Amino acid sequence: MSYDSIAELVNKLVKNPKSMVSQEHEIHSSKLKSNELSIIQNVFSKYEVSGDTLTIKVLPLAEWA
Amino acid sequence: MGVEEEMSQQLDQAIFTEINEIISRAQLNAEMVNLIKSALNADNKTGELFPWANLTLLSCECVSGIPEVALPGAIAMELFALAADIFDDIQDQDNDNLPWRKLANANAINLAICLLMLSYETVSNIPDNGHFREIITILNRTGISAIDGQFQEFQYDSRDQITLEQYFELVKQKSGSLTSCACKIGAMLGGGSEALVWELDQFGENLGIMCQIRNDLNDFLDFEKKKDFLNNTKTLPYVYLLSILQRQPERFKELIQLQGKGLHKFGNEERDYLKQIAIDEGVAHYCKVMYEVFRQKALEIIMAIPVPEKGKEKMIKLVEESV
Repeated sequence: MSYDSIAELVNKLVKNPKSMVSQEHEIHSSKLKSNELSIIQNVFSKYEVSGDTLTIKVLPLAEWA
Repeated sequence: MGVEEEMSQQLDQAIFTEINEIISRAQLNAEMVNLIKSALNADNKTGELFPWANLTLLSCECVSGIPEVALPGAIAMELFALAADIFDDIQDQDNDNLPWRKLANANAINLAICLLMLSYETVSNIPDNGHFREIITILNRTGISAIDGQFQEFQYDSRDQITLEQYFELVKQKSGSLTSCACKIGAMLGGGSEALVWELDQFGENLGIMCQIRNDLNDFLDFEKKKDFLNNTKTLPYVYLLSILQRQPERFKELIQLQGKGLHKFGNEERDYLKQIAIDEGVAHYCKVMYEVFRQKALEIIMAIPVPEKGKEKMIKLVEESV
């Protein structure tokens, strides 16, 4: 897994959410795996992160960390 | 009350009774007994009692094991994790609202060591000698890995920057090792094969990493509870910002200046500015993406485990919820 590639793509998409399509073309030359790209797409499309949202609310997870 | 809920309450009651017996057998003085009782479940935001014992029992159930057989391992895990939690808070000097943080550090350390010893005392109740040795080994290796991770974390605090890869390696050692320990103990005492124990170990590791990502993000701007940013602790939001702002020297400088302000000079204006940087650069997006990456790994592992669906339902439920 390339943590840096994921970070770079996420940062690019936050700055320009419409660039997802062009990012797909770059996938072949990047170090991202296809499932990682689809997770990124999913987070950006399904889970709209509003300006003030800075939390992950997943109640079933107890305090295991 | 449903059957599941009733069974869960019965298990919690069995854990509670067994812990009381262990404490009673140890003949501790009344103050220590009260301290232990107030510490158990003190750091519980979800309302679920004995999370570590229950995770161990879920793993046992997953391999079709008998919960009563795994009970000593589950309780040992609960006490072990609580001790680790107390040591962590003493070192980080945070979570001031928790009972052990209201004690002098020396007595908080005494409490944690006592819990650790009680954990080993509980393991000695495992009747099968082979299992006893294996569980002791798992706990020892987990402790060694978590302490090594904790040591590394403090080393990282004095560095300007660490890589995302170093962050995830550290989290695997620190948080992943404890959850994988609980799953491994449950699977082993449940009579799971070597392969099943390994799969549940991997599931637990990913679960622990998910929890740490969630905590890192949720605590990032909670300055009442945590002082991670001001302590230069390399949480995921901060490591991400340090990494991504390499290409924006001005903002990178601003972030470093904010971090160096110290507790007394870090007021509302600074908090708001840090929040703005986090929003602009996509901290929540990145944490959610990485959370999803590890959630999917955990889900794939548990779905593929060759055990009856009924047994693994609850484990699946733990990781099927989406962000």
